[in-house]
Amino acid sequence: MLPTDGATASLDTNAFSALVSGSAKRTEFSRVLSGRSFAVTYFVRAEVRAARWEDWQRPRVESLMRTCYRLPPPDEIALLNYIDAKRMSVNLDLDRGVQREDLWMLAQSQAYDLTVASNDANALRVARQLQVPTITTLDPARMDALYRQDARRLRTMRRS
Amino acid sequence: MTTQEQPEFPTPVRVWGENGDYLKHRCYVMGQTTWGYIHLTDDGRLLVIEGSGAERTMDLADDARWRAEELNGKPARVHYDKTVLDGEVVGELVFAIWESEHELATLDRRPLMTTQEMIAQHIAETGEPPITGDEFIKRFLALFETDEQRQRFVRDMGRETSRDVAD
Repeated sequence: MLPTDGATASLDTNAFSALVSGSAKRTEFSRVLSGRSFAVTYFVRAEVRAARWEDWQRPRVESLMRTCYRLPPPDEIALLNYIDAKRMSVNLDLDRGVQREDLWMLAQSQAYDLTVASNDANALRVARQLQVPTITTLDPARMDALYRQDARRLRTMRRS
Repeated sequence: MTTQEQPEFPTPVRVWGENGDYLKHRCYVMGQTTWGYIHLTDDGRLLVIEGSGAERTMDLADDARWRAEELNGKPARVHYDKTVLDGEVVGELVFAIWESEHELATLDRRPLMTTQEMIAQHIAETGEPPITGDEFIKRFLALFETDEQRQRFVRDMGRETSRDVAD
């Protein structure tokens, strides 16, 4: 059965990491990702490919990547989304706390209206402000506190 | 230069990528001490998208301007977004844009493709429906046979920090 709209997750690299990082996190991430199909952005694909795979692993990685939606190189929409994402990261005072690849991943996922699966708190904070839907296994109370803090900061900026 | 000044790109600048391939929309700029991407919109506006560091933003924009002039054969100017350059945090981005906030905000940004269209494209290209979550996870985990392989992958992903997987 084909997945329906909204059931596709764009995987951040740390979602891949989470799957191999330990039994509790793997179980939790497996649960939230179960039943979804996956998209892999141009940037995440490049990062995963760049990992130090052994010879026997590499063709299997390539094969696995081909089973996901592979989004093409970024176009103008993704680029404009990137500008928004970068600007938001500056407004949230994240500075280098959020990496360029994370912002590009968000931007391209947003261009295709995809839900982002990520465990990067800072990337999630930017996504929240850009109204990009996300799924994560990070502590919801901790994330809510960060979201509230960001909302206050942005309100203060707008008033000043 | 003020934000009220008008752009000087009546026609798109012709630019080439790193490998010499023609790119209508994007150009990698390599200066003496800087690098970055510039983007030329269809109507000839110039965006400097990102650069090599805060301390180099002005240099980068100058390199972009020089490159645009060389390629376009006419004088070019770069507009710096003052709110970014004068802010405490500049980061890695130079907002050198010709367009106004309003223009950016009103661009059509509807999704390029629906999920169903992506599925159809995937099937057309591979002959098979996309992998399910459970199958993907099973095959991904099967890539690793030892703890060393797992740890190396996590390190390579650059996500071994408290903000990510080790929360």
